[in-house]
Amino acid sequence: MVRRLALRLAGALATAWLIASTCFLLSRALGAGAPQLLNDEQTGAFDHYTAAETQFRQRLGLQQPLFYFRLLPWRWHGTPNQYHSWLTEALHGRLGASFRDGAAVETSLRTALRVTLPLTGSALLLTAGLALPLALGMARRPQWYRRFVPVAYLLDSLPLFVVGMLLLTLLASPDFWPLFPAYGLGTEGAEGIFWGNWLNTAYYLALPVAALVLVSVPALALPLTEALRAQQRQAYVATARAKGASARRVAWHHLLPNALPVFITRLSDLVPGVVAGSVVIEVVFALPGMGRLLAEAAAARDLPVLIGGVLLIALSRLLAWLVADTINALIDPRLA
Amino acid sequence: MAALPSRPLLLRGLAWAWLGGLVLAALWAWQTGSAQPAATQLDLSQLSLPPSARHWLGTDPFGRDVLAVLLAGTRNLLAVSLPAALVATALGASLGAAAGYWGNRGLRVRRAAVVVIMFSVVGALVTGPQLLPRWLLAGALGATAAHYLPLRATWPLPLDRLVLAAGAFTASVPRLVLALLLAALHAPSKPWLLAVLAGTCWPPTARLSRTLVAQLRRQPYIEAGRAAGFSDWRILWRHLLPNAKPALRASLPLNLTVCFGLQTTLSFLGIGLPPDELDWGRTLADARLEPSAWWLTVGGLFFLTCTMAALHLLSATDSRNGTPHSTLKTADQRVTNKD
Amino acid sequence: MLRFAVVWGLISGILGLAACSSPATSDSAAAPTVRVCWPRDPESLNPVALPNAYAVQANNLLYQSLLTVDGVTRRHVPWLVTALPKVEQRDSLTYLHYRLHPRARWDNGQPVVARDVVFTLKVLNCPGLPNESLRGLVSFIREVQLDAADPRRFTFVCRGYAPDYSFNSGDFPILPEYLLDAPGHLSALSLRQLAQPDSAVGKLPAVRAFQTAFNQAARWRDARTLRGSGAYELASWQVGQQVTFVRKSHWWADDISPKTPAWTAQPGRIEFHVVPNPATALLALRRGKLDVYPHMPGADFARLQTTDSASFRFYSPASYRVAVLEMNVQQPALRDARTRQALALLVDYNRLLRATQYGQGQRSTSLISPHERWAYHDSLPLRPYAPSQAAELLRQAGWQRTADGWRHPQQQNPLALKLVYGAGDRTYETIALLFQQSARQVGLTVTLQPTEAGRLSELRRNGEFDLSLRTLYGNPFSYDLRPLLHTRSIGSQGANRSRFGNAASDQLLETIYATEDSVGKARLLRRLQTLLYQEVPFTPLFFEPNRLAVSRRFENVRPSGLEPGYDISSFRLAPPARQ
Repeated sequence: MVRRLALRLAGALATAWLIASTCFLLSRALGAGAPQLLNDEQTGAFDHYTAAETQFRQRLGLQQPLFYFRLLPWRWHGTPNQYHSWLTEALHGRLGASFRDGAAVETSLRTALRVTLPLTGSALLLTAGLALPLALGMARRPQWYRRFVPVAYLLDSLPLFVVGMLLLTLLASPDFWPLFPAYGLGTEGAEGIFWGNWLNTAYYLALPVAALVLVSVPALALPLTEALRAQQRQAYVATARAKGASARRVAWHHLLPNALPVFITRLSDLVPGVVAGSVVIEVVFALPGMGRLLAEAAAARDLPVLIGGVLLIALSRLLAWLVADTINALIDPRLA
Repeated sequence: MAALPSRPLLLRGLAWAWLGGLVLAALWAWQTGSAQPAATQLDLSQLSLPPSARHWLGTDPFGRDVLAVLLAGTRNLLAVSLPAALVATALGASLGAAAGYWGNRGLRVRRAAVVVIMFSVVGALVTGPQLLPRWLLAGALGATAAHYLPLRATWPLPLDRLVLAAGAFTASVPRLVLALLLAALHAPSKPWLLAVLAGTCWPPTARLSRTLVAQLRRQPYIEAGRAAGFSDWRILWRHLLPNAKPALRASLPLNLTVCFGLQTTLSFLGIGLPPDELDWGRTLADARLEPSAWWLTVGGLFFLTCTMAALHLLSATDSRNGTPHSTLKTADQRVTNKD
Repeated sequence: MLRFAVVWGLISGILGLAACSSPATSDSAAAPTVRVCWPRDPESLNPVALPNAYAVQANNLLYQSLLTVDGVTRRHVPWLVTALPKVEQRDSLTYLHYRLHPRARWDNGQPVVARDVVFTLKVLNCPGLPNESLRGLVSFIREVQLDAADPRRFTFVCRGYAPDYSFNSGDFPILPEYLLDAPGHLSALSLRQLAQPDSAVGKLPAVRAFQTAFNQAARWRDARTLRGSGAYELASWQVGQQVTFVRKSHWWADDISPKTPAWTAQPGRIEFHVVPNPATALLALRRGKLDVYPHMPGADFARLQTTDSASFRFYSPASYRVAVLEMNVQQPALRDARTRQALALLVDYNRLLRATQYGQGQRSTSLISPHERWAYHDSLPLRPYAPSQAAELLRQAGWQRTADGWRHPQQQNPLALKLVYGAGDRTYETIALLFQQSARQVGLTVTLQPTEAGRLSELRRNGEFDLSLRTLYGNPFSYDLRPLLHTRSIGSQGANRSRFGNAASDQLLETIYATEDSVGKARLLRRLQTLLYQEVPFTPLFFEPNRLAVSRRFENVRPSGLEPGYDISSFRLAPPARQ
């Protein structure tokens, strides 16, 4: 078991490295991926435009060859190359410096995660906490099922920004009920989110979390409901009921353990989203999280930040799958 | 387990009618073609007007009639989201079925052919691009020739591992970041959007189909078929896929939802189709420009919800005819198996 | 039941807490807090990088340059110096004599002296620092002569002569040597040594050491090292969320009288809130969470004027930003000026102005603002919207209208144009849709191609477009149009994206740049405007207004057409009666 786990962990790490390397090489090999010093608004000084761009590329180390060799046709470049320096740095736990302000990528990611994790993490926990009882209720009461399923499909089909904007317009606008803050975190002079100030944070995150939860509850509750309903038809449930077990007991002790793997798998699919953040919600509610960091990095061609983010998300996805499989194997040895 | 109410006929009729209406609207939009229908002309004297007798669903921030825009938008719904969802479902189903059926050892390839192909690929990459077609041609010919050689040694093709790795690969880069990156390479157009949507949406279907097939494969009747000497293709096509179909059909609306959601979000972030290509996502995204124009959101959402509801209803009732929940259940349970 | 009670208790607790905690800003009447809405983060506060307009605005609170621009009067005024420079021309060189203000001091109490100016120029020319864009702007300064008697006097020695030198020489932030180069790495090197192109100077150990120290990202987020002679210091910077500046308790210009607007700093605290979504920003403004909303979208501005005019003042001074429809003159189909003139007649300018600017904004015949009366060529007629005239011009250019569009005997394909513009920009989107609609009326196919910014910039550089929508940023001071129109600025060498130009137009641009006397300059500028009007490398659509909404709590906003569009240092609390 431990050996298998270690092997799979190594596999996950190797896959993450492969994904990040591919992104690294592709983003830098393509002309449109190159960062520019002067955008279309800036005209620059006459006769100094080219020089400025060259100096800029030199400072970022972009004049170096990209990889150990090039293909089509073959040419050997050797070690001083962009990929080599990135890899050596990455092996030491450093992901390079942002092209925009020279800050270490780890620092940017950490700052963004401090905002994103409370937001998406609490949304995930709430989603799981809501989906579980909802699915149990729906499995036990057909009339709940009939009423909730259309609502779930409706919520599932709503784009996230529509939900966000609706919540914002209804609960944060002076025209309706301005109960919640419209934007930001309300942390005056504090870096990221302070746990000591959690009540204030909860207040500021209420609307964004609500939007995320509303949209993702169906994705979790519907498959679980189906799995529970399927379990209900199995013979052992009738046996348990015949033995005099209460409906509640049957639900919690017999149905749920059997349907749990579905739930855990779906949950593990949502975990990378926790790390990746949600661009839409972060833009609508002006939160400086991972989603916006990566979207802005992509727009500004800040490749080190982008690649760092992709690496982090890929790792979290692969590890989440690993953890989910392990838990499932513990719950139900047949799945091992 | 209570029986479901016996009124699905009416609902199903309604659902079919709605979808049929959409198809008609799309045909109308197609037929008018690039010549813009008068109703979707820009009218700068009518910016963002609430619903009235003249404009039943009001006008958008460009002065176009929202109802006409939504009807014209069905064309892109049918031309982009639906094909993308179909492609994603088909791609996912076939890749997953292949991975589930053959696993890591089931499919074996000739060693000689592999060597030849590898050699030609390396050769193509090392020499200049002008020689590329020749290398590929040589590789194809060589591989065919190797098939007839008496060298019978084979290698197993780790199909399962390859499909799962490809799925992990696409799923690991967040969809939106991927779309942003791709938008930087190529200006968004319909084929581009279709490829992005289909290319990022297939992994869940593949996982579903893989576990379904892997499980069905061990059923006695499949074993019997194999013992009777049926070919792999025949077993896959005639026996496995029909049994997996209800579950796969149920995943089509889900894929459509995902494709549509992504298309809408791209419009929201400003990297969707050009503004003269009308689609529902754009109408919803325009609501952001004019937050007080509730009719944009209401109109867009009404069309969206009705369509999604109709699709879910039809796929759900269909799956109930066959082997309904047992398949779905096992599917979902087996999804957990392994990645 | 109990569960519900608990939930309600929790919710009301949260709401109650929020109600007490929200408006707790320390507002003293003498030094109020001003909260400004920004659509994006400044990204870097490094005074030599300045990647965007927000970074420039933030930097002007921290650092001072020799001269500054007074937005209202549209003039350069002294800031760190006592007066505008005295210009002297000798041989082929220009000498600019400055004297630093005797009261000007750094935060350690030391006076700002000529040595700091020399140090700043060295930093701006030092290789390996993020100073690439500023370096070109000060490259005309060859040397700085110090005065042995007065440490505050100095003279810039400049190559050649141009009238722009006098204010360009005062346009960069002066950096404190004591904070940035305490070990004196750069003191042994001369400015001329550092400014040499492609020299080995970047490899010198002293320069290396300086680069390492200077390029530490943490240094430019730390209020202890990120400080200059400005009135404010950084209080906090939460990236992507908020940048806060607080007034220094004592600033050197506090003792000056009489006080010019440049030497005032009223607000005690300035907060820039980053709100990327305009709808959210509008909500926050209406709820009183923000005081200043600059560069508002036209629709939001018009709406706010009807709903909340009681709590906000609205300003819309004309800016120097002009939206243009640019044409790639090297595209075979667009080589003939008559074709380009025809396209310019297909823009419905007046309706466009109404639809995108809500009645504000101003049309123009060229890229010079009509407000600059002395330079604007007012006898050229504004182009009308005239599709029939456009069709006639196309015919004159040799195009014939056929069933499948306009065909030219010497061209293979019918006239079909690709219009590129920045994706997600609503104004461009409206313009593009309108243009496409009017082109269709005369049987012309226009394909719209909203493009992601980085890719768009690449397309423009490589000339892979027919038409493009672009905003040109001007100012009332410099008429150096060479980066925009000179043939040496085509492609990757500059910002001439329409690829327009010939020897005669280049000559004209050079002469305009070198001419000082305003009568002669105005005459030449009129000639240029006539040329552009006939050749149509672009057709100007409109000059945008600087739409600004400011809470009625404040007065003395001093709105202007120049960036950032208001003078935040002059904001004062309005007396209650006038609120």
